[in-house]
Amino acid sequence: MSFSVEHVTKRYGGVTAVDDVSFQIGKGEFVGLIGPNGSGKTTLLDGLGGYIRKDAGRVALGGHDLSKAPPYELAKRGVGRTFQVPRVFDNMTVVENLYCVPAARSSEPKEKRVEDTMEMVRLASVAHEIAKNLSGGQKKLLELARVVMLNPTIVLMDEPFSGVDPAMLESLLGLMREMNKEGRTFLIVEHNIAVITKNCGRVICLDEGKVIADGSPGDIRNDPRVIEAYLGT
Amino acid sequence: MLTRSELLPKNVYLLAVGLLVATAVVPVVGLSNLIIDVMLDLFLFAFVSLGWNLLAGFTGQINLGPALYFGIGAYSAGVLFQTYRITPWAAFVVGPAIAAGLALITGYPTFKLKGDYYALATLVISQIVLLSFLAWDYVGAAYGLSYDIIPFSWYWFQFNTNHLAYYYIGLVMVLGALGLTWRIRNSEFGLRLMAIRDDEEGAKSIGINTLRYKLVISMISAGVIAMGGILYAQYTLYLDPNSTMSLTITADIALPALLGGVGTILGPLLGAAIIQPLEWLLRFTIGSNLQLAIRGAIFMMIVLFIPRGIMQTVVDKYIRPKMVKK
Ligand SMILES: Nc1ncnc2c1ncn2[C@@H]1O[C@H](COP(=O)(O)OP(=O)(O)OP(=O)(O)O)[C@@H](O)[C@H]1O
Ligand SMILES: [Mg+2]
Repeated sequence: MSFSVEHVTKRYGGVTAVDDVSFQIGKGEFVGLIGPNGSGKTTLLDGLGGYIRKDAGRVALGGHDLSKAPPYELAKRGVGRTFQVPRVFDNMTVVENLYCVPAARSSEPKEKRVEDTMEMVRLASVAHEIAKNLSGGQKKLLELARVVMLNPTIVLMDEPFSGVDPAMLESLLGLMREMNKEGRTFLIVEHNIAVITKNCGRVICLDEGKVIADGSPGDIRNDPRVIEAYLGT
Repeated sequence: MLTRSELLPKNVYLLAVGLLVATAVVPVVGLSNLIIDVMLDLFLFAFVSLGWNLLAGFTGQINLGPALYFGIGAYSAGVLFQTYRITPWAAFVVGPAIAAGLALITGYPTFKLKGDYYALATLVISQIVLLSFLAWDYVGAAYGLSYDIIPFSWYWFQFNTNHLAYYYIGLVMVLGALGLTWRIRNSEFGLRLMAIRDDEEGAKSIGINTLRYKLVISMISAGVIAMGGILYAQYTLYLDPNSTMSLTITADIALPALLGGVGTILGPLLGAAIIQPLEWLLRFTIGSNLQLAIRGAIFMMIVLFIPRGIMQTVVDKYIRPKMVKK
């Protein structure tokens, strides 16, 4: 199930936030998406996830055209998404946050999936706490746990590690790696370059809405355009 | 496993239902007609507030014109009986169907938009329908619609000589609305509604077709409120647009939920149990003027002192800290 992005463009007035972006991600890849502030990373994820209307371009998962699909349709097709600021359901308990995920893509009983997922993300001890009382890192875990419930083919994540302490970062990353081992694809927007280069097999760099580099972490680190636009000297 | 965020001990619900059932026995001992009428209003507005709460409380969509559905229910009963001599019980099909249709027409274009367009649309449409009814001869225009009185008949849904029948119907309706709310609150459907309320984009991201959910629950909510209008019509036996569709009625529908706790199961019942007796008391002491002003004042007090309503405030302060520590 490869994920293909072809000529995706999004303009805001005079600003071309995403400018003719194309790439293909194969099943099970763990890809980092980097770039300076305002380079269009969030806009691109929003476009891929169906949250904003694209001005042009095509998005497909395993050959299915999803260019025009709304977010809930994409979710049902196996495209999971987490947000720069976690979007948990504040006034619902952790259990309820997981329970409300439609289980269209699994035949296992809901109860068991919720329990397994809570064990997996280690939120079982706060199962009955309401989400707004969780720490920032726990909210990110919960958001990812919701994605786990979706049984996704690909997960789009916007800055999963921002504002997360080192221990929590390890938990999150461990969970992501575990999901990746099960064959799930990841596309991760992140400013923490050290984490990206250490964990991603491939890095795509955006600048002013355009892909300026796409390759292995080693290549990216030494790419003069990436250094100029983002990494600095 | 499906634990409720309200975290109220189950006993509280049993107590509430117990109290309600007890009210069924009390009249046998003998209550004055006045108290029966106050209780009937309490049941009626607890019922419609429970209906309003399904959408406002659990889904976060504020309907500012629920009196429209109330009026639709009332008039469907009135017109069926007075114009066509059809039993008003049939209004339990016709009224909710029309109300749900209106809810669909209002919700479909406005739920898609970000912001408070739905609230605005419900307010505007309720006012437009109110004005239209004032000019519409078929429903008696501004003169309203007076029932031919039948002393006591189950078939014609009129119990003028013994209000206890209304009382029991009201009680059954409240129990039904509580049961419906309980069912929805503890279902995946209800959890998804709350997810939409808490974060709509987040809800979409896990595969919830938020527009469809909002439409379905707004239609259910409208249907419930319309049923309240039917009971009101059969009890007062006189309808005019201002007494069934005005902002005063909208306030009476929304305030119990806001006071008792929007988005809780028992909140609207608790709120109605406080507000309705209070309104009767005020009517006796300062008369029927200032109806809307009084409701406005109650609203201001809620916003200032208990913005989340009584239930949630109690749960947050006293119950949740204990439960979570365990
Ligand atoms: N809703 C919007 N309206 C107008 N312009 C927007 C909107 N959203 C984003 N932009 C613009 O699009 C460009 C890309 O923004 P985007 O948020 O995608 O960047 P980003 O790479 O995610 O940045 P950051 O690293 O700071 O999160 C910026 O110039 C931004 O100002
Ligand atoms: Mg961003």
